[in-house]
Parts: sequence; C-alpha cells; structure tokens
Amino acid sequence: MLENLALGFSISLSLSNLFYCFAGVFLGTLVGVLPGLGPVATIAMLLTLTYKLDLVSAIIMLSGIYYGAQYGGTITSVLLKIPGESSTVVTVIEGYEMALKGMAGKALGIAAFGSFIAGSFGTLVLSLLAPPLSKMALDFGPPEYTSLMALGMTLVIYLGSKSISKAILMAAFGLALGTIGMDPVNSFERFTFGISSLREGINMAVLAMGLFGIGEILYLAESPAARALHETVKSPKKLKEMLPNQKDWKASAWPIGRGTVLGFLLGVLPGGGATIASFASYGLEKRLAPESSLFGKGAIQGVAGPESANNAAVSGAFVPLLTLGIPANVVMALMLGAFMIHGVTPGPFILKNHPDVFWGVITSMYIGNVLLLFLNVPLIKIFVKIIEIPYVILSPIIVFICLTGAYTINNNSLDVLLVIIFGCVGYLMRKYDFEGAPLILAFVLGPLLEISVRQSLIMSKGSPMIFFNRPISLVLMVIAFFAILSPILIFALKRWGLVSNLKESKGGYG
Amino acid sequence: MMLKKGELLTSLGFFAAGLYTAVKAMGFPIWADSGLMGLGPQEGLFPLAAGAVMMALSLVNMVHIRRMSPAQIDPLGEETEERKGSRPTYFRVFSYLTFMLLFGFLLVKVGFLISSFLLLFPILKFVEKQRWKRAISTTIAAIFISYFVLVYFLGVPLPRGLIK
Repeated sequence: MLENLALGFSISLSLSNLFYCFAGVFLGTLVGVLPGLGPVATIAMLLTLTYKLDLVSAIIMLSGIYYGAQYGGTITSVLLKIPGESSTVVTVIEGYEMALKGMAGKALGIAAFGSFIAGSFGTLVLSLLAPPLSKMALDFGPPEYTSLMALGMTLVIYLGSKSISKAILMAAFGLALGTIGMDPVNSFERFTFGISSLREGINMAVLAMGLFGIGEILYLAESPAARALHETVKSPKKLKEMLPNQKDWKASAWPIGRGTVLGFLLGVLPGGGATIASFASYGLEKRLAPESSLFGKGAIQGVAGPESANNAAVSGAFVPLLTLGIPANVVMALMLGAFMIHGVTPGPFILKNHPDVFWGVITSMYIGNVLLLFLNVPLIKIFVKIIEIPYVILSPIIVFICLTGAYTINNNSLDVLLVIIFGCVGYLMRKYDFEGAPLILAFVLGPLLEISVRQSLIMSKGSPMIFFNRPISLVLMVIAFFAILSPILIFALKRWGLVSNLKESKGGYG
Repeated sequence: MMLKKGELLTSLGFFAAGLYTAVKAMGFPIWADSGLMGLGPQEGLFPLAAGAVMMALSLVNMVHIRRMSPAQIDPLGEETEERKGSRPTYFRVFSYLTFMLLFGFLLVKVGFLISSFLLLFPILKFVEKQRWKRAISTTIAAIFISYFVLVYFLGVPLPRGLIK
C-alpha cells in the first residue's frame, strides 16, 4: 500500500500534474460558482483537450473539476441564495440564512473545512477499498458485467429521476444513439447513413457538449429571468472571518463525520452521487439535531453535513469506475469516455496494467483536496467577482467553446453540426423535464452492455438463465428487480395499510 | 397551451425516432440460433429493443400529457408570464441557432478567425444587446485567447480559410 502511494505521489507531484490539478480545482470552483454551467458541461467541453494531454494529467484535471465544482456551488448558495450546483441546493437553506446574520464567512469556512476532511477521508477509503475490490472484480465474467450494468442503469433511472417513464425513454434513446456506427461484435455498420465519419459512432464529447452545454444555453436564452442575478449579501473580507471557532467546530464535528460516511456510501452507489448525498445528509442532521427548530434559520450543522457529504460522494463515485469500469453517474460516464479516448479501459485490470494511472489519480485527489482548501479560503473575493460576470457575456462564449471544441475532435464540421443538433435536443429535454443522466449513461454503457450480453449468451448457448445461475449475477439481478418494483411495492404496502408514513420513492410512472 | 403542445411535439419526435430505429433495425439480423453468425442476439436486436421502448414510452408520455390539466402542466404559472413576451424569448433561441449554423457552415470555408467573429459579435451586439465597445472587446479577447490556446499551446490545426 505504501509503495503504491509512493508511486502515485511520484506521478501526481510532478510539476505538470500539479499544474493540471490546480487548473482542475480552479476551473471546477469557477464552474461551480456559475449557475447553469455545471461540471458535466465543463468536463464535456474539456474532453476534447484530453486528446492532447496524457491520460493521468487529463483525469487529474477532470477529477479536480468535479470535486472543485462542489465547493464552487457553495459560494453562490451562501452569498446569492442561488445553488451553483444541484448538490448545493440544500446549502441554500441554511447557508444563506447564516449569511443574512453576518456569518457568511463561517458558512463558507465550515463548508471548506468539511469538504476537505470528507474529501480526504473519501480518498483514503478509495485507496484502501480499490485494490481488494479490483481483485474481486477479476471473478466478474460477461454475465456479472451485464447484471452490474443493468443494475447501474436501473438505479440511475429509479433513484435519480423525477419521472421514471421519461427516464426509461431517455435511456432507450441513449441506447439507440449508442448503436450508431460499427456493431461492437461483428463490425456491421448501423445507422451511418453512408457517412464514413459515423462509422466510429457519435463522439461522447459531442453528445455531452450538445446536450448539457448548448442545450443549457438555449434554455437560458429563452428564459431571461433564469439569468437574472440576485443581490449578494456581504461576502467575507478577511481570512479570519472564515475560520470557524471552537463552538462552530463542536457543532459541526459530528455532522461532518456522518456526512462523510453517508456521502461516500451514496457516491459508490450507481444512481447516487453528490446531490442525493447532500439531501440525505441534511435530512439526517435535521432529524438528529438536539434543536431541530434551528434548522431553516441558519443552523451550521445544515451546512457542515451536506457539504461534507457531497465531497465524500465524489470520492465514492470513483470506486465503481476504477475497480469495475462502471460509471456511477454522468460525470463518471464522461471520465470513462476520457479513459477510453486514451485506449485504457478502467476496471479490474487497470491496477495491474496501468498502476501509474490508478495511483496517480488517487493520490492527486489528496493533493486536490489540499489545493481546494488553500484556494477557496483566501480566493473567495475573486470568485465573488466572477459571479458578477453577466450571463449575456458568458452564454455566447460558452457556445463558442462548445462549437470550437467539437470541431477540434476530428477536424470535422460534421461534429459541429451534431453538437448543434444535440443542443436542440438538450434544449427540449431541459424545457420539458427529460433528464440527461439516463441518456448519457445508456449511451456509454450501451455498447459495453451489448458486448457482454452477446458474450454471455454465446457462453450459455443462447440460454438467459446464465444471468441467474451465477451467484454474483443473481444477487445483482435481484437488486435490480427490487429497484424496478419498488414504486409498485411501496404503493401496495401503503394501500394495504401495512406502512402508514412511508415516503413514496422519488420516481413515479409518467 | 404552448407548454403542453411543445411537450407533445417533443414526445412525438421521440416516437418518430423510435419508429425509425425499430423499422431500420428489422432490416438487420436479429437473432442467430447457430452457425457462422454465432449464437444469440445479432446487430439488430439492441436497436430494435431501444426503438420499441422509445415508441412505447413516448406514447405513454403523450397520453399522460393530454390528460394533465393546465395547472398540472404549469404549476407556477410561468408560461402565462413568459408568453407576454413570447416573441422576444424565442427570438433569442432562433438567433443563437442561426449563428451557430452559420459558424458550422462557414468554419472551413472562411476560416476559424472570421467565422468565430461572425458567431460572437452578432450574438453579443444584436441578440444580447451589448454596447459596441463591450461586444468587440469580448469577441476579440475570446478569439485571441482560444486561438492562442488551441494553436500554440495544444497544437490543434484550425482552418485558415480566407486568411492564409
């Protein structure tokens, strides 16, 4: 373990990787500060850059953007009452109230320290868990991978979606888009319309930039009200204002601890992630608080817990990606894309074949957490200034970056046209509440799922029982079926009066 | 109600995409029992399944939308407020799309620098209504920085077009 960490640090502490780590966390914080432009769109736009970087540097930078964005969103949540990211929606409730009482510095400070502690803990657990999990994953064959991918997509649809039918529709659309190009088994051309560029399929960066970048800009172009900035409260002027005192630490210690553990576990779960983690932590802290009446009026526990949870979830999300090659959420799906651009498939063999990549990325997360703490505490004034850049300036620049980025992938104007088309699709999806996460996950996992299904059925000579005869695959399938049936089960239990106050699952049919 | 009509049309679009996918997929091999093609699902099965699910759920969504009341579709009454200025808001969307398509069309023909200018400046000046000075300075800064980063830092070849 120590040797592995030494290898990792020798890679992540190189000057160039330190620079990319810094660039990632700075960009991530910046992106988090700007409502509307999330880590997904930013990573999608920067995917094209990763062609030019080596894999470790690229993943270091993209990871930095992901966890940096969690903190950036906190700044706008506390100062502007606008959640910069979906994972910081909960912070608005308590953080802004603290700011109104002149405690914006404390809110931001405890969020920064909580994020640091949670992120560091999460990275430590990732370092400890990943090697044994990777070994276990060596026992995974095509049936297990099929079941795991099916479970992952099921959980994303059923846990993370407001409308299950729309989510399944989007997943099917993503699967359909994933079939464009050469069939992964027999190299049969599908849906290429005679265009040679489409033989390799649609590039994920093009799809993601269109859906999340251009789509968001078009949506904001339609709704000027969504771009209006609120007045800020007084932001902290001195570093001292951001340092929590003993009383703050006493109130926040347990929430940070609980948020860290809860966030990490939810981050590991496909369909989980930073947003669910932050909500779950808030709910938990409210329930456990000695004086829950303080919640909603500026309770520091309501900032400490969720902010720790969302950062811990980021580390947790890397577990299934690095050990099994399964992305737990949209951002991890884009990371998977970045790996595949470089011809490396994350999963159980990455530890054996590319230990430098594996440990370099993990150790960079330790460094990134430290950078995030030192970056965000003193540089708060700069980020507050950036919030003041009007959207009318940012929107055309984001469009320009997306279109240029699309062209630079293959020096092909067709990619620019595709980004615009997907931008229109993304705009309609945003307008009518069709979620993008199931689409992107299905798009990324679809070809892999197709390969493993076909391999499994070849192994079993066409019998689908192979997915139920093998113990790991059976367990995963059972969990997936329960997830599918959960809304019906809960409805039935309530109907029969067996459970009186059970909350309905997040999804619903239609 | 425009929101209702819009969502119906969007669902219809997904239905059409699903129908096309399924019909096209039926022209591919779906399943093989044995032989040289291997066992089990072939190239057509996944797109056929995806297309069929898209069609089914688009129909479910369309039926669901038709049954919803105006209050359910637009609980915050945002559409009523929005539609007071409906032409200007869609104007911005169509304008962005027009200039994006123009950029895509002209990029290789006239080059990166000119096409980027024709994308950014009109949007900033005429769509987002910025002052001349701000529109020009933002356009030039964005083009200059991106050109420098892409060409000199990343070594990405960009089309020169009319500027050799």
